[in-house]
Amino acid sequence: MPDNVSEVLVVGAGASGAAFAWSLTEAGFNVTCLEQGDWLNPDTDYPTDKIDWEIHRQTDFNPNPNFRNLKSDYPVNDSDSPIAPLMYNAVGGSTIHWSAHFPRMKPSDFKVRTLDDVADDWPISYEDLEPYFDLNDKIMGVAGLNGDTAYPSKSSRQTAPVPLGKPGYKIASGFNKLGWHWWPSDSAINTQPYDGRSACNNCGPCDLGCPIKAKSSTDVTYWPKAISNGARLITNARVREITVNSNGVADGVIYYDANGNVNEHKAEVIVLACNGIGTPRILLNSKSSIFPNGLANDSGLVGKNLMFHPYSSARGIFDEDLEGHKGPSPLNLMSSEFYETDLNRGFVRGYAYQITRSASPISASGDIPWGEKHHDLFASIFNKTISFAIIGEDLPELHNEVILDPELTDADGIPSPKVNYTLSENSQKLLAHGRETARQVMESAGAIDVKLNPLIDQAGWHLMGTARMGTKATNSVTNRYGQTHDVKNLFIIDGSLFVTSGAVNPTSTIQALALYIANYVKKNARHILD
Amino acid sequence: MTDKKLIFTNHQLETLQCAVDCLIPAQDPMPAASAAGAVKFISDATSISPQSRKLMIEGLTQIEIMAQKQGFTYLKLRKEKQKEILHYMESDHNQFFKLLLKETYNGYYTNPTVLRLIGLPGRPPQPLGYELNQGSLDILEPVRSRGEIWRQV
Repeated sequence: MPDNVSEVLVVGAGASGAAFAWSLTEAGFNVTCLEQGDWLNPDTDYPTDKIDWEIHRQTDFNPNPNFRNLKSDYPVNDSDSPIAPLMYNAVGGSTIHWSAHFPRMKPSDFKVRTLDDVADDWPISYEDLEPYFDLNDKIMGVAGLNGDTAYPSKSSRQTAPVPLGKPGYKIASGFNKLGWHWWPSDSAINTQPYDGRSACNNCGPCDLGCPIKAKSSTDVTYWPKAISNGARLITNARVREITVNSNGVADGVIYYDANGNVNEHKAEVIVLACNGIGTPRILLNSKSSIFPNGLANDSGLVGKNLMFHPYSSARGIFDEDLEGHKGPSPLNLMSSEFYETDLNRGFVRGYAYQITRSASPISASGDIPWGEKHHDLFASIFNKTISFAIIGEDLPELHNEVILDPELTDADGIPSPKVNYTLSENSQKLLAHGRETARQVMESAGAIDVKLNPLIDQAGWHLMGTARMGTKATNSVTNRYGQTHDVKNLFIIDGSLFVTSGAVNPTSTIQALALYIANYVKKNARHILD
Repeated sequence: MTDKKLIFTNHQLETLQCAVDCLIPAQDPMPAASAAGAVKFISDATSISPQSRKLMIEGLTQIEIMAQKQGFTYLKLRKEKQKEILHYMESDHNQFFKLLLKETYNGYYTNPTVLRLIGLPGRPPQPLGYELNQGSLDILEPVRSRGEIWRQV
């Protein structure tokens, strides 16, 4: 095949694109992936071996692309959203800067209409995804502990759970006093050497990239395997639009290379893996006479139903040194005590807690006033705090959306996405409940003071729902296999597909979906490609 | 930096030193901000952004103007008066003040001596990492004994 033609073209080299490309190349397909970012070299490109490492959170490793403003990024207009969307653009995508939380969505998450009479059921079930959760865990490598009572039993975890450390034992004692659920949660972190990658050395800041490859970003898990299978990965390639032929079949993409030159790539199957902001952006920008409202958008649902997980936080202060700098900053301990609906609480669905170790020095200093009292106040909290992030299930609402900004563009002139989002009354009640229960846990664990933050603004880590899957062309953008209703050779494999959000981090479920869809494409290639 | 207007004068550097030491004064055993290199840090940090440097110079100039109104240069004012001016800057020149405070804290809490004094090893997290062993997970016993809580579908 010529260089600019492939059987399968994947757009985006992050969590889902990497898994999908690997799966297809295992079966011998000719796969090319276009990625707007570049490779990061773990040996040289991460700041955790520099004394000013923490400052990089404010600058080139800021999770918000608008602050980071790198060449690989595109600006996002978030002026009409109380939550800022976060992402990273590189080979590995947001798994470069994620904290490697790896919980699965639960069986009930796929059936919320049936169980709770809210939102919609997914067209697939936990059981449909289970083999792909297991396969994905094996490739990514998951640290965890079998037997979590808040889940059906899972396959053996690849390595032992992330150490609890003093903060973990402290907070676990609080949960136990209340009789509430907690468990060392699944993390995509090697706690022992696994699959040729080294063990975590408990350095702390997972969000700044892992130079020893113990954290499972897809540039060090799936991509080396996919590339050795023959996958072609073109970096610094920013896709502007998907093109269609006169029959309404997708036939390729137009993209800009690092020098801003326009290129075309043709393919028989096009796969979008740009997650909940990037995917609707490309679809909405792919207008043609056959698809005047954007590609695969006859339903009008492309970009609609944007879900974040809204986060509150609670920070407990303890009267002892918790050595909170030791161990991955995400403590990887979760509680599902308030995960499911209980209408007595005044809201539907629920939330989980994630616990993080003590804040690092600059973060800890942020709330400390200047002047004579600075040192005493700093000493009273540094390495003495444990924080809860209360992660709430966000329900889909049509008015929460991603649209194309009428003015703002990226460096190549492609319209930027604009996010319009409001926090629902249900979410507000749910988070308020979560803050108070978090306070109870903290106090039971011995906290001498608890500080609450009703809504973390820089926490739009999870981008979901903007090209949902479903049973009918009128209520969804794709069918149960991520195949768009309107264009049969166009697939979506990322968080955009989510019908509901659950109340856990989505990456594990996104990747399981990508592998599930890859299996469908492999089995039905002849039908799709004919 | 080629634009001469964007180079700190010696006088501005003295004002800056005085200001950062009001923000983080010495308190045994902790050093004051300037003794932990905050002035050089701020100078370096603002050298990569003409906008930040301009904001910093304008703010320092404003501090000096406020001091002169009281008949002294800023560094000759009594500590209480110096702090008063910073409080004024915090409320009336907040953009400058936020930058000054952020970079002072950034500089201070990346200084190896300071890091050692707050109980850390005074080195980056990598490549050495930290020793942290998993203790006993018997503490999960109450969770296990309660049995499965996940919602059947």
